[in-house]
Amino acid sequence: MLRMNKISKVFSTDLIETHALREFDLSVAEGEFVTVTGPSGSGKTTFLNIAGLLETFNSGEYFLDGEDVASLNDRQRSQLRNQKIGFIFQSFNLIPDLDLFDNVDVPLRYRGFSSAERKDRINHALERVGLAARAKHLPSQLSGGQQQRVAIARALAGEPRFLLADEPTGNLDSLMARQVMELLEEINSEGTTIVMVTHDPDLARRSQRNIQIIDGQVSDQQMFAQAV
Amino acid sequence: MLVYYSKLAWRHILQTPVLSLLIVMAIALGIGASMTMISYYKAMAHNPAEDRSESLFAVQLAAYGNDMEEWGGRPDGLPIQLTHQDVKNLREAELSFPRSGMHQFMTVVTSQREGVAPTNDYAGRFVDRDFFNMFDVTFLYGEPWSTQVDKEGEKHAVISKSLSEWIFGEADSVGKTFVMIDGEMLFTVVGVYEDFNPQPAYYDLSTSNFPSDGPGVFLPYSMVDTLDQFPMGNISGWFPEEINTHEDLRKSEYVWQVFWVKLDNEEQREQYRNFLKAYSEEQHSLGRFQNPNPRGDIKDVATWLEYNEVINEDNKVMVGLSLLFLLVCLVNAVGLLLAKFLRKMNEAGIRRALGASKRQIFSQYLVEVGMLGLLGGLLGLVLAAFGLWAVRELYETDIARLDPTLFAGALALSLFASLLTGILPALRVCNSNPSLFLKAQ
Repeated sequence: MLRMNKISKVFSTDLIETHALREFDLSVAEGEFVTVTGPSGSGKTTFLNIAGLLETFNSGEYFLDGEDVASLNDRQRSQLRNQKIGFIFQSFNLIPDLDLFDNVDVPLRYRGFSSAERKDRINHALERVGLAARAKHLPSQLSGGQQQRVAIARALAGEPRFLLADEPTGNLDSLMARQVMELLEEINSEGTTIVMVTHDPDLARRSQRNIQIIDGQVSDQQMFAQAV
Repeated sequence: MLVYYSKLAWRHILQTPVLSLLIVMAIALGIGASMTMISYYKAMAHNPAEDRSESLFAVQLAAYGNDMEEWGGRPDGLPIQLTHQDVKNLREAELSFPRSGMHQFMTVVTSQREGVAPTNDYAGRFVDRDFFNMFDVTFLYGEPWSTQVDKEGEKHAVISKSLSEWIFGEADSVGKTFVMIDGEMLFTVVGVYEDFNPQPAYYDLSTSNFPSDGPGVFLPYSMVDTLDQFPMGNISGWFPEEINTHEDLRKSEYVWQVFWVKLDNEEQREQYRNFLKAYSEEQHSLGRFQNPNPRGDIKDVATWLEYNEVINEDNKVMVGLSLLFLLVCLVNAVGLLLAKFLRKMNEAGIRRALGASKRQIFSQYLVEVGMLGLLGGLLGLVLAAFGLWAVRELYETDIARLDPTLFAGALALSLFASLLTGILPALRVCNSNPSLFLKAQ
């Protein structure tokens, strides 16, 4: 599903160069649930942004679902992101002045679906996270856990094959975090590949494989017993 | 997607009402000021003769003398008016071209209706019967006086519809008589015309370029000698002469009348130029036109308007300044748009993460700018309408009104200007790195 070979990413200012990723190698198989851990500033988020085509890289190769992304222009990258990748963020990143229906609608708009299909997909996605009845509520009227479920519904509505989650439970209490994690596991069990950045070792253990990043490189990999 | 972008744009406009209003105001002020000046300029630059412009010619003569090189303050040293004796000679010349001498006068007209003031002042004009056809005066009833009247004179009058209604209480007054001039002369109405007031009043630029009212009554030029009506307009002379009576004025070398001729092709123009040359030389030999270069000239309407500086340099400068003001307003709008859009960087980042391309984000924000531009344009038109009203009040003229072309032009200009203004802020938003905003929220 995802293959990175010797990816390097350098952030440059007039004064310093910061090597966020150094010859970073990683492969993720289709249907895998991989967690990424590491100390702050180790390069986890940079990896996630590159994986999600939100950032470019300085050198190396990145194949997403067999496609070499380095050769794609902005429009093609956006299209690929829209069709194959779903994002879940720690801070939910819902658009505050759109109701839940319209928030889930955002990626579908860029996909070019018909109005009827969008409506079906939105209702289905909201039903799946248990928030169909609150479709006309604004994000601010929901709890943190509910907001994250909306974000998951938004990520799922386009039926992506690859889900990238950046500390999705980081802003939630333990009960809500568990619920969100269970939802992600359920999604993964249906075949969606998930890569999740987390600080929580307990959550990391619930994945199939944990990758530890230190100083922009994969320093350790751990396989866990859970079956797909 | 345009509908979707429009919905988002409207939502964003309502979310930031103060900033949006400031942007709309900035655009509106620029559009309002520039459209006011452009409308005023356009009205002044208008050639009301249209397709007759190239066949109507104002006649000029170097009717001055005693070794003066030039006179009249014009580049070619020719006065824009003629003496009565020259107009009389030009009228009587054995040439078959339509022509008309003319001068304006003010007269007191007596009403035959009850309940209105018994008398009122009206602008009148002595013309020849060809005038009506040459200057496209629309007759509602009757027709111009006869050729015979043009030669021998009779108290016939062609009056405006408004004057007819004021005197008689009805538009069709052909055949009726009314009292005018010193409250004692009886004139017969032979024709009634649709009110006539082309702007600028190109047929006689020696009075007012943009009169608020057109002539109320036309009388046969052949009556000038009989009715003794002093002109209402410019009278100039190149040497002092004592004028006590109208006859003194008629016989003087003062210029106070205007003469137009209709020449349809170059051959006729050449013929008329040769005629003027011969006439000038003849007058020179008779002791008039004693300047070193006795001559005449004809100028078509467009040339005549330019020659008489109907649009002066100040107006051009004002249009330039108003466009500069528009530019300043737009620069301000760029700043305000940047402030407005920077607030939306996070949302743009989310949309990028969810699959929007840079172009789609750019388009979305440009639609918002376009909507602000159209709102600014509409408000600008209201301001322009107010500005033009002020211009009309200030200069006591009826010109400079917003026409459909200018209305559409203002909206197109505001849309174009705002899109131009919005390019930089929209580029800033769409080119920002979405990952910066997604983590930072």
